[in-house]
Amino acid sequence: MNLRSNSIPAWFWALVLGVFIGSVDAATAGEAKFEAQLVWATNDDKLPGNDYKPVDEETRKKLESLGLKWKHFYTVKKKEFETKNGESGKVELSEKSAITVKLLPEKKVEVVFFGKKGEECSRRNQPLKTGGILCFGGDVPENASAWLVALKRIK
Amino acid sequence: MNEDLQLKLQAYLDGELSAEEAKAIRDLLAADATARALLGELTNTRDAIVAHEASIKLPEAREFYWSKIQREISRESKSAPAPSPKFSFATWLQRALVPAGAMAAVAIAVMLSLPHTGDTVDPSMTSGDTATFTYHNYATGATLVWLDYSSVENDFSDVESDDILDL
Repeated sequence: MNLRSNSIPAWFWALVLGVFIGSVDAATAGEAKFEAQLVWATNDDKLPGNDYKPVDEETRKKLESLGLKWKHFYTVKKKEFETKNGESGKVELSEKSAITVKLLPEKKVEVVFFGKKGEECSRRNQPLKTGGILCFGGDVPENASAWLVALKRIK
Repeated sequence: MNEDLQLKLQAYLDGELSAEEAKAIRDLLAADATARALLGELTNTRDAIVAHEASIKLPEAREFYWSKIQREISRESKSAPAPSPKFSFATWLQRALVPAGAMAAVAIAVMLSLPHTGDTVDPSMTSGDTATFTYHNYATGATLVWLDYSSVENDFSDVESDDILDL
């Protein structure tokens, strides 16, 4: 049997190439690592408790670059997690805040923020490069502070 | 003496009154010394103005003078350039390019005013959100999604400075 390469139609090679690229993309998509922080933003100079730690320097700079009016950012809870098969599953930061992350092609992510009782509050689809931060937040009118959920892509 | 009567005296002096009005004024003048005095003043003033008015005489006939003015007006009207009905490509190009150029300038200005990003951020939401405000800082790679979530109970609504948050 004489199998010559030019006897295989071009569309077959295109299909093989497409499958290869897709598999590489899927493999890459499943290997991201993230850090999620629940942050309390306040102007009160007095720490409310020992459980509160100022956010790390890198996060603080990024939060300050967002033009927020608060000068202190305290980490209340921090979680690192990875995506498996491109999805993180639900990452709970408190009873009233959780997120899921789904990797998409071209370094994009789909992040869903869940609030109290697990209701979906926001679903966002955007590129998030390594080191980038996607931050959800809202006012706490009772004490003129704010809550933030900062998602940072580590890898 | 009221103002109307003063004006009537001036009109009498200028010969502008009817026979009846003129007779009434003559009767007034015969009986009223003030009216007579005023008429005297008005007469003196008129005589003084007339006597000292500069007398200018045209060196030519009135009709000829006005005909010269009319000819000058006609000559200037004819010498004014009439709009050319001929098609001019340069004019057309100018008319077409000026608005297009202005629009392009506006578009460039808008593009330049937008933040430059090495990577394109897609700000689209894929589901119905709570009212949100989104801000990107492209320089630091940070995105803020601000939720109108104040009406919903959150983790920090009970926090006081002396409290320890129990999560």
